[in-house]
Amino acid sequence: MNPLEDEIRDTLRSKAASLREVRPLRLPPVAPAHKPRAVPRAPWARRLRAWQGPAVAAAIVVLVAATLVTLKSLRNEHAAPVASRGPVAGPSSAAGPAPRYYVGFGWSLSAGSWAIIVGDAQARKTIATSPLPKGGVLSDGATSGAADDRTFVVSAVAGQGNAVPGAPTWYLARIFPGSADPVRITKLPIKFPADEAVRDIALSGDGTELAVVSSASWGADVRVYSVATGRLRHSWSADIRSSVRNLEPIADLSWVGDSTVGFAVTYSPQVREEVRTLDVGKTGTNLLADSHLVWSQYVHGTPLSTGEPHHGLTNVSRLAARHACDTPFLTGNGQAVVCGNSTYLSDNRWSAVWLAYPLATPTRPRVIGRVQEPRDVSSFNGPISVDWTNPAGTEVIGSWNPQVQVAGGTKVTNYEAVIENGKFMPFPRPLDAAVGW
Amino acid sequence: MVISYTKPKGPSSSRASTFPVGVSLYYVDQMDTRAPEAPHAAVDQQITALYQAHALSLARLALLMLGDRDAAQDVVQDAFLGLYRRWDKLASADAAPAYLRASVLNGCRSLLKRRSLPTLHAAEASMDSAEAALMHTEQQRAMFAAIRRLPARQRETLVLRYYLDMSEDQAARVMGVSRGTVKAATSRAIAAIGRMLKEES
Repeated sequence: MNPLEDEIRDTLRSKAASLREVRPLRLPPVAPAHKPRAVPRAPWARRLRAWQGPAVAAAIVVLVAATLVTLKSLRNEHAAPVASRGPVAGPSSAAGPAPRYYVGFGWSLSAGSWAIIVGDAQARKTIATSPLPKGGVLSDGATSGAADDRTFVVSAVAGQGNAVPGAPTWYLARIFPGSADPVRITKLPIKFPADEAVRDIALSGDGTELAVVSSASWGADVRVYSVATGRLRHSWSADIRSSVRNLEPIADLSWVGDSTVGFAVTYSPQVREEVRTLDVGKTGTNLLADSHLVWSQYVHGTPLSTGEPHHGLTNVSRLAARHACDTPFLTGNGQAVVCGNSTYLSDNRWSAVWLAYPLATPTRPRVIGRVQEPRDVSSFNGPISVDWTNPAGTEVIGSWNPQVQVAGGTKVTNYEAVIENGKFMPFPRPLDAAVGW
Repeated sequence: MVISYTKPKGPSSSRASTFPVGVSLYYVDQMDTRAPEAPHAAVDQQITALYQAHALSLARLALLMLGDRDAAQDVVQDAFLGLYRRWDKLASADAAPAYLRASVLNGCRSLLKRRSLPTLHAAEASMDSAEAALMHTEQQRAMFAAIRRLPARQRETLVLRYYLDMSEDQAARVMGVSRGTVKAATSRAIAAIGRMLKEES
């Protein structure tokens, strides 16, 4: 081999080695049903061909019957949303494009501290836990995932004992299914003011930018950070200090494409909810002046002074708020607002309902799904949430927390489910904790 | 999604007291991690395992063929998606790596055929500046630039022979040509590189 050949070899290897990472594999939602077929069809199979027609017809009849039975069992009207119901198929397998992985927080007994947990909803298991600094009391946490279902950003505010919480620590969690090291969690160099609180975050679909809603005594901000460098790219402010949502006048962040952020604004005391869009590629500093109104609704009610749970619109008289969105969320295609809502049915029982309001026809919402407790629900302990939605707003992962009166007090049950086409598919057992998708 | 937390009351219960926003807490160490596997989940796992084992080396192969990281990764993704769709037609799981390599090489050839010359040159320029720091020497950079100016078949021959260390026979089988064609293409490629480097210096 001559020196030139050696040089070619070295150059090719050096060049190849410069590529050190590949992006995660994204498989289509519907998997093939068979494993590799190594054995050719046996001769006797030919004899069975004569029976193929009748057999296929019989199979179709059985399939249709089974489908009808399944649909009937999945009907959510008057059905108990029992989250621990038997070996129900995982939501992701039933719902197709719903995300498979989630990231949240839980208490690790072995580490004796709070931990970031990474889970696989389809396999129904936790695949990794990463303890936060020992002794830290987690006071706030936020998670958001990218479109690849493998990349997540996490913020965690942890303090020691009763110490006042400081600035959040930011983490990037990446999932590499099937590898020896399936989850890698690294800190992100995002500098966030210690005197502000993170109210919501949303990772862009490509995972490169992070939108953050923060609040402080003077109002609220929407900021966009680079995930790679932690650099603050843009910031917009709004002087909204109080609302029926108290701490969350700006919330429900979402991305529409790579350059537009959607968010919800709630004004009080005249309770008006708006969903607005902000072009993050343009300059500006005034959140309301630089954004565009795309959807709004009034909630004609009087805020209660005490009593009701204080999250979302639950401060508002429930009867008045029956048509209000708890968490208005602009879909990824920018064509609809999806939200959860508690509603009062004709038999005087509360139910949770998820609606999509097409921006083109906002007065005609479409019901994505509805679920009612068989028990008499006194209220919901928290909002009827939209935790994730597909870009078209036809499928959501929602959570709801009905509260019922029991002997000696009240009992709250926490549910989370994939909701689609009037059906809900609850996670067979509750997930580790509140999680982000 | 933002969650407010308090520490659970005690470790004896699997569910903590109600949280301010109505979420419950589960001790992660007590989670039931058993997972009944659906049939397709097994295929997912096999494809994912193959991806973990081979994706990087295949992407490197495609990078050498195309000179463009994004395109290289696209070709590899396409190859795995193709395998995923044709999984039940594969004779055996052992055949998957060879199928993937052939698929990546085919994808590279198709892409090189489709690419217009101006696009290719634009990609070269941006890539050279971005990766200059990673190339070991100025000489290697000049060498790779020369390799990239070769006709696609000659470049593929060099990649198979000197990056994958294939014999002439093996390279011929992979390329679907005769051994003599591989030998001639390799010889011409080396001569052309020698000329280009000489002209540059």
